[in-house]
Amino acid sequence: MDTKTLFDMHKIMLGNEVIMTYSGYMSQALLTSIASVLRQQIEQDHLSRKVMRNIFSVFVEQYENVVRYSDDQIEEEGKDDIRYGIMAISKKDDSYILNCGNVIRSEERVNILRNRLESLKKMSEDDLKAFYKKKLRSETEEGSKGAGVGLIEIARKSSEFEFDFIDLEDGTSFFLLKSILK
Amino acid sequence: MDNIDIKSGERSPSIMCDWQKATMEIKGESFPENVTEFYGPVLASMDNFFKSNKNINFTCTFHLLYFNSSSAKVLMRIFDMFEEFTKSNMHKIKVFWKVDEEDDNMRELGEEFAEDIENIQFEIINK
Repeated sequence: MDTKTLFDMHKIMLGNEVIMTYSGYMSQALLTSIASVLRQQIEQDHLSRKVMRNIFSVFVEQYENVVRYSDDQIEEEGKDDIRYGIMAISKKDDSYILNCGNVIRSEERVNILRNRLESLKKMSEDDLKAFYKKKLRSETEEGSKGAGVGLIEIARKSSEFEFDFIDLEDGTSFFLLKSILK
Repeated sequence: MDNIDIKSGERSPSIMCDWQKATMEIKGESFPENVTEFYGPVLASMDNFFKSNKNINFTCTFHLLYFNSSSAKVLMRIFDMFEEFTKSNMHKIKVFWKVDEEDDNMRELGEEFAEDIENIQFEIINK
């Protein structure tokens, strides 16, 4: 990539009021640093504690979702897995928009995730709360390295959310999730 | 049994357990890199303590600034453990959910846990 392209990317990000973006391999250790920078940054905006905590919370859950489930990963014995993903946080008017994306290889997992997100989208606030509590109490699902409640947390803390699965040429899918926080 | 004295990290809370005094305090941020690794030994010690004693007046104070969903799962496990041992081993367990002044959001998060609690005393207090 030449410098001109990089500058074009920079302009696109400025135009979209992007306050933070990351593209590349992600690890749990990296989250520690990025989270602290993000927190410092959103503290400048003098938001209520609730909004600030919700932004931070959706960011952490989105990040952990990529780190746990992206199928583009490098495994090395004795080291933590690193997985490839993209993240972008931007502002629009009074809202914050948090995006994340990663590759998912299996069609089956795409379908499971799609169904899960579609059903979360239909739930009312009370339904989400009840489902969240139920999930907090249930055993961790197979193949789920986290608590399996991250997506519900994202749905609860976002004012609205959208998702998409884009078919890639190699037969895999690229999963995208967008949360809007007001 | 050895007391627990875990210092807080950037992403993990401090945890203090004094078994003699029957007190426990969890304070700070909670989104550890590996939740099971971090909380596992603490939960095991708690389980062991509650199981091998009866009729203890136990106090547990939470003063959290942020917790992620994996940590929420641990919190729920702790409250369920309190409920269980209140019944099976006649312990009297009191939970203080400390919130900073004007932190209505953390108060709400505490209230959500309190809704499901039946046999333990759950009190939200301002710092």
